[in-house]
Amino acid sequence: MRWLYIAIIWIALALGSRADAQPDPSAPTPPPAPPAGKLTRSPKLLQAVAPDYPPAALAAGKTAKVKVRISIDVTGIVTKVEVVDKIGDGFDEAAVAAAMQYIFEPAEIDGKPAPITVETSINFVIEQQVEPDPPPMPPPPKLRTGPPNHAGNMDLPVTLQGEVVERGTRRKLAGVIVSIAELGLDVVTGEDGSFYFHGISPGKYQVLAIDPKFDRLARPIEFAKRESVEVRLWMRPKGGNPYETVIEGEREVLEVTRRTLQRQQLTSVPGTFGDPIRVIQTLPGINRAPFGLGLLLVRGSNPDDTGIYVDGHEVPSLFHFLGGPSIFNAEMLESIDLYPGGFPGRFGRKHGGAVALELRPTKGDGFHGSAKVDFLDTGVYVRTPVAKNLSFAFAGRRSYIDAFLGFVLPDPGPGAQRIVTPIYYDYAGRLDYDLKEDGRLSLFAIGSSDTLHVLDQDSDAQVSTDLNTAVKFFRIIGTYARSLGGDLKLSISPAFGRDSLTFSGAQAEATGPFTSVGIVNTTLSYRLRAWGRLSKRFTLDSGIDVLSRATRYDALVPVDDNLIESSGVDIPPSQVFRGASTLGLAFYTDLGIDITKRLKLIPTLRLDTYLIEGQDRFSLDPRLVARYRLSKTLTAKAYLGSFSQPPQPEAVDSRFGNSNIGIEHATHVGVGYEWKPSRLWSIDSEIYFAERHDLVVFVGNELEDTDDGTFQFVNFRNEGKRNSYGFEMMIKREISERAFGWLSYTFSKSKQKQHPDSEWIPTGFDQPHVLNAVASYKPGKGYELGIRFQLASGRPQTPVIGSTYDADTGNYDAVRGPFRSARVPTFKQIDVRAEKVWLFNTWSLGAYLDIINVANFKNVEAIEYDYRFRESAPITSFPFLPTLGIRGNW
Amino acid sequence: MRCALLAALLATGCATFEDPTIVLDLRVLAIEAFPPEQVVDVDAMDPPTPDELFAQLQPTIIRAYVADPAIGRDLVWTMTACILFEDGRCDPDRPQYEVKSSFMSDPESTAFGSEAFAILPVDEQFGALLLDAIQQDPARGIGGVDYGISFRVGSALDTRDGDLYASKRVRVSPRIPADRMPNNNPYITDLLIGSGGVGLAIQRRHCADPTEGIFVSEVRSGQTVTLFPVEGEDVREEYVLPTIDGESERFTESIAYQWIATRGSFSDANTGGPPDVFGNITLVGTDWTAPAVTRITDVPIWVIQRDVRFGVTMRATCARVVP
Repeated sequence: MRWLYIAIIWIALALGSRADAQPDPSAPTPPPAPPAGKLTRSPKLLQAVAPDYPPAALAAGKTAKVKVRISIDVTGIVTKVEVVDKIGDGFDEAAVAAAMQYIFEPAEIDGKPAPITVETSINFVIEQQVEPDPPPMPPPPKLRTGPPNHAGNMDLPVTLQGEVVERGTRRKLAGVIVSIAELGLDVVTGEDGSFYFHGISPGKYQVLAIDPKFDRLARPIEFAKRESVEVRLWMRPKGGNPYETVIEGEREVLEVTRRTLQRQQLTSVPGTFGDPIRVIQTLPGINRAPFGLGLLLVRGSNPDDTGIYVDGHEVPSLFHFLGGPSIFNAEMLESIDLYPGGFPGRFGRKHGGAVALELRPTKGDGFHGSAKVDFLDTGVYVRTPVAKNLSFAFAGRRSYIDAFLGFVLPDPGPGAQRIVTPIYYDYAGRLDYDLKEDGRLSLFAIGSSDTLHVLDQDSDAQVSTDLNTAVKFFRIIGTYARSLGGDLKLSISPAFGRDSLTFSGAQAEATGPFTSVGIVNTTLSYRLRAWGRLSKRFTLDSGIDVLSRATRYDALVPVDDNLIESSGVDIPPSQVFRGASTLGLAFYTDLGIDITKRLKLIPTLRLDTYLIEGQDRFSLDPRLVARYRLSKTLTAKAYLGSFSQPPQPEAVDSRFGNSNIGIEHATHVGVGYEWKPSRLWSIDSEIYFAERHDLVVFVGNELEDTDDGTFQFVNFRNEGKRNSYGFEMMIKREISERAFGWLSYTFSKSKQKQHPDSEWIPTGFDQPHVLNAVASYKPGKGYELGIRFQLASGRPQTPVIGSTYDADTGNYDAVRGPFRSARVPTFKQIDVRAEKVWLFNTWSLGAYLDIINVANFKNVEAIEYDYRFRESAPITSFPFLPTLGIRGNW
Repeated sequence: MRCALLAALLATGCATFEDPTIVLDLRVLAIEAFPPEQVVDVDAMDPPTPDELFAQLQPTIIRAYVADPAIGRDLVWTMTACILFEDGRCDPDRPQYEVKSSFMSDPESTAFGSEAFAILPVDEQFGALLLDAIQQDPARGIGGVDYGISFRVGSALDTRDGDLYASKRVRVSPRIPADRMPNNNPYITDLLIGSGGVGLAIQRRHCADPTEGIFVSEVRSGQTVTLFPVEGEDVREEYVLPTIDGESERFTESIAYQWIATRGSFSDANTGGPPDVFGNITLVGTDWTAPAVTRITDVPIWVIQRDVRFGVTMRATCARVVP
């Protein structure tokens, strides 16, 4: 027996109401005047929720009694809670939050259900409680009892069975209380939403289904003799379409900072066109990409320095190009994790950040899907079981900007510039085979295509135009995952991929030669991962990461790499074929050690070996993360680690690159804290420093002597350096039924030098201040309103201070001031979104209006100049741009 | 709104700027060098002394052509020999010297146009410039070295803060390989004007040309005519260049044309140049649409011919637009 200090919250269940005029003895305040009519039945509390004890008050030993006035509607749902006498210290808010979740059997006035207001008190008491001795083992039951979703006499057959499903999605609801009030029988629905009542006598009954997240459902039902009835109860989410609250199992923490987005929650952030992956760009540590482009600018690194991983396999891009939506259909994803720095060992070959997409296993719970149609594209998603334990999902999308843009294009003038617009499509399919206790097999394939389409052309032009630009990518990933016993899991995952980039450009005015380049990457990768809790003290994430990549270049370009002096030489284009191969083998281990109950250390070691163009490379990256739990709500964290990244294939090309190029290196260090004062609110803050060196930089046709007296060109060297430091903070309100939002702020400075002797200059994407605020609210009746505000420092720019006419070419050369010594103006934008969802039993329909830049701020992204750099004009980002769309789910 | 939507979808700018083919105010039209390249004999086994090298060079004549249609005024100009920076200005950290500074009459009122003319002698200053270019070249001058002429021009009456700058490169190369020959400036034998496949040679070289009995090309107000340069048969020269592996490569010049006028509009501002995507030789002519006028108006037209190897020739002419 031992003594524990615990916080006890006493809830006074004696209710005082306007109608019954039975004041709570603990609430001496007289109730308001009674309404017209006679109270024939008092409201009955069916479900109470214990409030959260305010942490500060608990720590200070404060107690309180909060008197509240509760308004209950005709269905028994609490619609409003007021504090009668404010206490402070967080007690009032905690009491209101708890009381809002109460569920009542509604009051009756003149024999009919009616709204009512009652008063009660919620007591917050800290009590020294004696941990009771364990109760004696209960005697074996005399009557046979069934599982929680069964009720009645188990010896009799089932006479009423059914399932509880959500309206609009047909999602089967577990944990719903289903009761037959007349018989006093209750069940709690099982994982598949099912319930069973045994031996119900013939008669008329009222079946109730109650869940805090749904409107209370009452359905009359009548039994005849020897009849068995099967029902389906459709439950309507409160407010029409509340946010789906995802209860995520506590994941083992093996990293210092991970910002997770749940797919289900974030399809309604304004300005993202319902694309949850775009929400990543509003998180701390991410700089704003110009023109809405999908570049991931993590903590001052180049976009190429941040890896994008799908179930651990690297993919080239998240988004369609030129500001298009994400390539990955959100329905296919389970979660999206952003690691802005100090990321775990399983993510390798990058020294910027990591974005990890976890794929969503396909459920065999019937035919479901969604479709979306808007101004830019149409997308569909379906999933269905195809056999026992085998299910299939498919998603696809196609843009049609090119179809209507012709209507708004200006008339082409003589010699007019060609107008091009992106056409994109993507597709994804997934097969899941559930092997039950032997694990799960899955096969996932995804492909995307982006091409530029010439929309308008000057028919009088004397030269041909070819803008055959295309970016395509394809991946197929197989995964076998199973439990190794206990908390340990194993996954084996091979993948094949093919990425291609082709572009060509004829000069419209024929002053330059035609050029085209095609790059094809063929990738074979394999991952083996074992992870989970080894013991009470140790957590492991370890694996093997193999990558084989062959890169092929096929270019039609003027090749001048053989000429000693190529300026002023008119070199005709010639076909050039080049190839590069990279083989990477890595082993990594993250070991989480709970040193004490408060302190957790996570040492990491990642070993990478490479064979690049026949030359071996090697890197060993140790890292250490520490997390210290200062209190139940506050955790301090720190990390220090090294990261490596192999050079791009073109940099090691023996002809156009430098075959002696080595691996790039970086060091990340940071400290911060996570504070979660309540279930809904959290603050995550961090300061960081990232130092990157040995970066591969283009030095541009440097001529070197060779041993035989001739020359050779060198285009790349490991001479670059880039440093960034900053502060990040995120104040987040987690998703509740009606609202969510966050405020993220990033202060960062990033600078670079191309050569050891050159000056430090800001990087091209340096933005000292980036602020994002997102809020969304569901007022009920299926409506949702959202707003997003963005504020970001302008990107560095080099000012133009004059020009010189180049008499040898006929063009003007800009005379520029100090490199990146100016900035474009501060970016600010407000996006809003309104959506209305209509719920039907088997499907739902939503219509939304998404307005980008509702205030029509003229945000300057760049400056364009006239032919002699005398006049200039801003190139602005999105203007006021409304988009209408509809989406359906079934 | 249309522009805004385009900007939203395509991220394009929608600003309207001056047409670069129409000269509205002071402009440098072209700079010619005679010769554009000089080739000197060197023996790699027995490199020449600087004096032996300079003895093989001849003075270079520089001509800069200017238009200034907005204001009738005299101009002042300066030519500087130097090593050019990337932005076309003289590199301040390397040798440079002023070749000539002088005045120029109002270009539009001078009968044969206006040009800045200077001779660049092979002297000590030039020698220092050339030696610096060779010494700073990572290939020690084997591929040839360039020096530059920076041309600055502005109003003779104002401070020179608003001067325009132009640059021209001139090349000096060693005879490596042995059959390397210097580049020559291209030239136009005739400039034809016409329509429907019939063209007549434009004879007037300048709108203020007082020559009696000269053929005057008349174009109706708003009429579109074709301008076609007839280039000399030997204009597209073959040339050879050394490669880094000690060998050589042979090329053939392509000729490009730039079209400029004070009024009207061109269908193509630049013609000629390298073959297009399908290997077709690109056309060298352009269509010019005369401005809408209510009285007889003489419009200066210039075509600048370039061989890409710093060989430049400018041809000025004049079309008379009648209502």
